[in-house]
Amino acid sequence: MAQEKMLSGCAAAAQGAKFAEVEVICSFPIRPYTAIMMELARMVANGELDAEFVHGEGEHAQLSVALGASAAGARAYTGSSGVGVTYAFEVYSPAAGGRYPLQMAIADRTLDPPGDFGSEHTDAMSARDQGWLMGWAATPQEVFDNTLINYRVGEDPKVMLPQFVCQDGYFLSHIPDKVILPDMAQVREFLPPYKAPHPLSPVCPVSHGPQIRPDQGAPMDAQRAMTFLDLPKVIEKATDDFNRIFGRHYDPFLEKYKMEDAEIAFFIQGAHANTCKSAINHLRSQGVKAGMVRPRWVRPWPTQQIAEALSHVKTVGCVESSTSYGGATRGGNLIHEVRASLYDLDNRPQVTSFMAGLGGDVILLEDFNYMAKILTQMAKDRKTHQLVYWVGFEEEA
Amino acid sequence: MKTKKIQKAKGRNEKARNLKTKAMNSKVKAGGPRTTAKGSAGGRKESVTVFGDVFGTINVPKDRAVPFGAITPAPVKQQELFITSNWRIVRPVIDHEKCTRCFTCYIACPDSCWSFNEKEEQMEWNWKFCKGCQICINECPADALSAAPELDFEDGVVRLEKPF
Repeated sequence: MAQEKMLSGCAAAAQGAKFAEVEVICSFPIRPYTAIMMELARMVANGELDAEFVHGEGEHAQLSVALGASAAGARAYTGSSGVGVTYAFEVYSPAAGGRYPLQMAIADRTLDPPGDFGSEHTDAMSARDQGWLMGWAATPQEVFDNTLINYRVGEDPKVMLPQFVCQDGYFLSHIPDKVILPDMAQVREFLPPYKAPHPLSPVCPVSHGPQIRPDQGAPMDAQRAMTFLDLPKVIEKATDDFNRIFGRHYDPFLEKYKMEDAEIAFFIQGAHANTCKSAINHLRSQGVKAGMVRPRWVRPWPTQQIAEALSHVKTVGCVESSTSYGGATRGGNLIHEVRASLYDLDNRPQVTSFMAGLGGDVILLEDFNYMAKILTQMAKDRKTHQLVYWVGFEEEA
Repeated sequence: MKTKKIQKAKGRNEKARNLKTKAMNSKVKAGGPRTTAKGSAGGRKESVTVFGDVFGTINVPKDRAVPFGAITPAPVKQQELFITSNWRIVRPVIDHEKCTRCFTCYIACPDSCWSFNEKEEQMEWNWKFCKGCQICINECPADALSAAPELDFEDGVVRLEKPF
């Protein structure tokens, strides 16, 4: 029977892995994601979960173990945070290139220095171009659901790619919320057992990861890129099936909040969206027609869906929780792709970005009010005065 | 004689490449539904670009397709699909008179390019995977190995017009 529990984001991720019946887990401690592994270790020790639990000697080893397990045909699970994510970096491209659909949970943490433990999306966002699937959850329920959806999409025979399932550290990873845990029968209907097409096996020996020649590099890249063309359909089908089986109402790519008549829109990713929604209610009570779009996937980037969702607003403010030092806007990452998605619209909105929620900062209601003020002014002037605003480090406009 | 050997190997290589490995389907059309977004709310009337296959199509010719994830049938002895020695500048040349068959080269080679030919009772060099690192030359206790520039050979890899 389905049951409701109060779970933090980490506990929800662990439950997700348990319901996905992962076969190999590889851990290495770094907070805040560690709580996922603590929970899974407890489950394995108690006999709730029949999985091989390997403790890696570091994040690089963690990913290598997961890659090997996946190559051997096991459903593999691992995770990390902050500098752990960057320490494992070398293995990301081989995992995608070798087509191993392992899953890595990331609970965001700032990179060093300054060694601050707060949540910031830069750690995972740095790895967004490695050929993995990637997306952020906004609630513990979504963390649980994304764990299952990602395995389903990643293990699709047409896809076969590893997945980053991201959540904000602390805001999401350590704050409990109501999570509906489904029936095992529902999960089995949604997520078939993982079947590796060419597993390492003494019965039918294969070579994995051989050296290829330079003239074989380009076709391999093209073949991987082709997978990403197919991905939206697979994600749509998986989300539809998920909604049907579990009775949820996810849009495959974007969460839209009060966008029907919005004039200004926030584009925001992760758990800060929850604050954003209450800020929008507040703004609307004052007559500001604000809305919100939250991408559920960063890779593949939902280009067309974003263009569609934002085509009728006057101004868009990308709330950046990651840094892209020296980038096109000298601010964050999201605005690059949002602007690129909107460029071909005949009457495109003004787009700016707000640096907020860095280093674990909470984005406050008053911050959203400040952003809304700028967005409203931009709409009035029909001009993007600045490409980026460092919230809290600016004089009031 | 060596040229012949190379040609033979080349032919085999072609064959291996054309083998019906479980390569990915080499023609896929871009996904994503065609959508017409029309702005109505928000006060502004606008026509919106109709999105079609904005991501284009990617076609990988069959003869260039790489097996899925570069995963290939395990070779019995060596991987013919990915021959990798075209960056060799020098190659080890063996003096069979001096060679004591001590197998030090066999142990030392990081790419397993030395083997023992039982019929001829002498060591045999594998041109397909030797990178010319010269470790075997350094390690040989009998001084039976020496480095010779690839340019000195008619079949030297530096003379190849196309990589394998």
